[in-house]
Amino acid sequence: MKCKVIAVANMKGGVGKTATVVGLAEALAAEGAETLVVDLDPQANASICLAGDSILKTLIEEGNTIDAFLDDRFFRKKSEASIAPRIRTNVSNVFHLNDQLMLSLLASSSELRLLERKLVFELTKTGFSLDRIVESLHSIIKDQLRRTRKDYDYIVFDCAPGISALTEVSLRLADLVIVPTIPDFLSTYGLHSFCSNLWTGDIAKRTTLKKPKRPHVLITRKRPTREHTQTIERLRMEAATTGSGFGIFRTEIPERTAIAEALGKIHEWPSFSQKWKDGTAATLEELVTEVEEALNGT
Amino acid sequence: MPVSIGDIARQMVVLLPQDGAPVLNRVMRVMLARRLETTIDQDHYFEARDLLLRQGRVGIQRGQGGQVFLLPEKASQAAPPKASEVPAPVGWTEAQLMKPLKAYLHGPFAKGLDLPKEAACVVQDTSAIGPRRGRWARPDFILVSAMKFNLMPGAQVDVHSFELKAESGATDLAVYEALAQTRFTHFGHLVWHLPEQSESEARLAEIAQQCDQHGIGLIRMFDPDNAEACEILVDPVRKATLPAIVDGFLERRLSGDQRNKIAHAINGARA
Repeated sequence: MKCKVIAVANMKGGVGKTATVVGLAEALAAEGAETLVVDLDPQANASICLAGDSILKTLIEEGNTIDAFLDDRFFRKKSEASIAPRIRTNVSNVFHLNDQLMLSLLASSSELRLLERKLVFELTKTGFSLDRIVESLHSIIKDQLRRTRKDYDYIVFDCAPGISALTEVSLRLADLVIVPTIPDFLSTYGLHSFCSNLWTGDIAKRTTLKKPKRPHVLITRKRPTREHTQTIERLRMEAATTGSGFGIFRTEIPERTAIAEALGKIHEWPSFSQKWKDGTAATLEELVTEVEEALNGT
Repeated sequence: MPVSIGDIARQMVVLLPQDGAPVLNRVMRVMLARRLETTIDQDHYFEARDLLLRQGRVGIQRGQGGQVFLLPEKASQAAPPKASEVPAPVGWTEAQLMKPLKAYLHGPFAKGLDLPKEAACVVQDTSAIGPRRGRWARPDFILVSAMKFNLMPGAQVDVHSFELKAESGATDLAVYEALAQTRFTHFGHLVWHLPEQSESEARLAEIAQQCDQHGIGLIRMFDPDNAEACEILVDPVRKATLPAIVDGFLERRLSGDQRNKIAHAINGARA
């Protein structure tokens, strides 16, 4: 199977990006797919949810993080530095049908935030424009993905809120962009801004890089309220309009305590269905089916 | 990179809870895969487990796909592993912590009770005394103090029970264990070996809260080599256990000399 790259992003924070990444990655792995999660968020929430605090601490101490890789490449001038040896395989504490989920992780740390700023600051001083920085990052990450993708069926990027250089790169490299969105006024306001920025706005016009694929909205943290129901109806109508800037998944992730609890199970050894309780496992399986359809164009 | 059966066995000994708590086979395979960063084939896993079983290092239990647990060191002495198979040093086991706890109870803890000099205070290892079938009926230690008052009639007898847990062993279940033991005693304590900087410190707030909620004392043992290096984090609440039950419990746990010492303190001349 050819490796597919999925980016999970939204300008807005708190919309369930990390929950989507962890849930989707585990559901893909439960289907038997070799899955790599690349954490691009300095909050490192996906890293801690997947690896647990103890392993993450070791990864950070040993420099096995995305920021350590970028530091080596850009500031220590180690051209041979690569992400492959920094990937932690067999990272999951979850099993399915008596076997460990086949999940790997390229972790992030809080240093990533400073490193991105340093990158922009230092490279701008040497005459790089912002677009050139993105292009340079794009070239490096694309090359690393080319070397890594043979080992995986899926690579899932967990992007930080906002549109950082790394987020932009991952969106341009992805075969599928998922935008988790809470169906309320503020989140959908951010959604339009996010789409227009990257797909039709200034950033899209300026760059020479490939335009990202049309994003797919995933409804998250849905509650049975009139506002949520009406917003979902409106989003679905918009998505169905010819020339719409985004598609939308049929699957909707409800707001459930079980999801928050699942993310906190880092010191337990649950099965996939024990971890994603109250029907969440079934919802994630539906999402996997839709993701596969979207990737295969069916 | 493929790992040998010896590697898997070595890591299994390191990963198994030192207090002998059983781990499901499928969970142990995931723990091993995470530690060794490679998939552990089921056949290889069972080969490694059987190797340890033959060496007397582990025991097995049936149910839920089977469980494996670490045997106490004494039981495994018959077939010591080769030098090359000795795992990396691990934390103190419960068995190793018994002696330091006894020294602490005889020393700083007893001193902290501030008993009058005529009072009696005995410490007894009860980890192997008592009914085998009774669940949570065997505290690791008990401490009994007995004293008479200067003016008031009668005597005061306090029985403390202590449940000892190694670094990785303290869970909410340990709190319930200490609580269950207070059906025979007045004060229940959980003693947890939790060194500075321990990863298990993450659980400390929750365990302390559980102890507080159930009126169980919590004693943190920082350094087993130093009896002074224990800290009482939560004070226990005295339980109103019926004297007849306490009496029956002590009857079966204390030696003749210890019983005489207590009786003498209660029935002897007033302080």
